[in-house]
Amino acid sequence: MNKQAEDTSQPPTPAENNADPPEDDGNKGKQGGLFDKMTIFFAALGLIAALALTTQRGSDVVVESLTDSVFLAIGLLPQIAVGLFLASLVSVMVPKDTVGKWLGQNSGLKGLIGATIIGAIMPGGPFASFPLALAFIAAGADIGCMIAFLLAWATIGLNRLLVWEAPFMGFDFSMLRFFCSLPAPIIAGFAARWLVRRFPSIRPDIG
Amino acid sequence: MSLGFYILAAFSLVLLAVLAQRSPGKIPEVFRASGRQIRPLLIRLPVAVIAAGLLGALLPSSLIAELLGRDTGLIGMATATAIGALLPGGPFVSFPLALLVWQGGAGEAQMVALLTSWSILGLHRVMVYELPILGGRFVATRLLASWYLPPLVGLLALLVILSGAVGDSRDHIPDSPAMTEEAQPESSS
Repeated sequence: MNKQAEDTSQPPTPAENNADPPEDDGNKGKQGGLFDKMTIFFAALGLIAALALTTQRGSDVVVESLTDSVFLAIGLLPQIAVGLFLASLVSVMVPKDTVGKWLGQNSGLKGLIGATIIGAIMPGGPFASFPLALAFIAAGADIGCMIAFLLAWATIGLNRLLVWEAPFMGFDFSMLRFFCSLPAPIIAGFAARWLVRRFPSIRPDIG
Repeated sequence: MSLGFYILAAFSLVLLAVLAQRSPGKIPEVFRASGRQIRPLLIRLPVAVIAAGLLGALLPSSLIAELLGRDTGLIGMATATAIGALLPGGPFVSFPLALLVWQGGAGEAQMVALLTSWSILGLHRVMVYELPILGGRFVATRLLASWYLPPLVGLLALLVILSGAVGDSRDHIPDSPAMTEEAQPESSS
C-alpha cells in the first residue's frame, strides 16, 4: 500500500514538501519533558494500587508484580522503538493528500472498510498499531477511520486470532466471536465521526 | 519477542531501503522523528507498565466465573464487559485467564463479551499505549464511540447460539494445562 501511495503521488508534486509539515506540527505541544502530568498520574495510581495490594495480599505480591513489570517494560522498549520507527517511515513516505483521499474525513464507508481491513491484517502488537494510528492522523487520516483501524486490529486481528485465541479458546468459539465482532469497527468509526461533528471540542489535538 | 515484531522490523528495513533509493535526503528526518517520539515515553511507559501490573494483581480471578454463568443474561453481559476491561496484560496473560474463567462455568456469549471488551476497552492497553501515544482526547473519543460494543457483540453471539447455528463449543475446551504450556512460548502478539 505504501509503495503504491508513493508512486501515485510522485508525478504531480515533489513529495518533499508534502511529508514535512504534518511531521513537525503533529508532535509539538502534546509532549512535554520527561516528567509530565501523565507520568505523575500513573505514578500516583501505581502507589495507590501498591498500598491496596500490600494490605490485601502482603508486600511479597507487590515485589513480585514490580519485578515482572520492570522486565516487561525492558522487553517492550525495543518493540516500541521499532513501532515508532515504522510509523515515522510511513509518515515521511506516504504523502498527505493520498492518506487524506483514502482515509480522510470524506472517505465515507469506503474509508472505514479500508481502515478495518488494514487493521485486521496488520501483524504486530500495540507497539506498532498505536504509533501507526498517530502517524496516519498526522498525515491527514480521519479519526473515524483510525478508530475503525484500531478496533479492527484489536477485535478481529487475524494475527491474534490465529496465534492466541484459536489455540486457547478453540476454533468454534474464535469463529463465533470473530463474526459477531465483524461490524464493530465500522459502527465505532461512524460513531466517532458523529461525535466529533456533534461535539467539535473533543476533536483530538493531533495533526 | 513475537513473530509480528520480526515481520514489522523486516518491513521497516524494506521501507528504509526503498526510501534510501528514492530520496536518501529524508532518512535523517525519519530518525529525528522517531527519536522525538520515543523520548517522552522512556519514563512514561515503564511507570505505566508498573501501575497497570499492580492494578492487575488486585483482580480476584476466582470470583469472576460465578458472575458470568449462562443464565446471567443482560447483567452477565454488563459484568463481562466490566471485567474484560479490567483484565490485565497482553494476550499472554489474558487468554490463560479467560480460559480459567470459561472452565469455571462462564457461558459462551458472556465469554465473547468479555474477550471483546478486553480487546476494545482493555484499560491496561489504554494506560500503557493509547494514552501516552495518542493523548486524552483521542482516548475519550474512542471510548465514547465504542463502550457499548462488547455487550452488543455478546448479545449477537447469544442470538447465534440460541438459533442453534453453533453447537456447544465448550466441547472444545482444552482441559489440561498442557495446552497452556504449549501456547506460552509463542509469546506476545
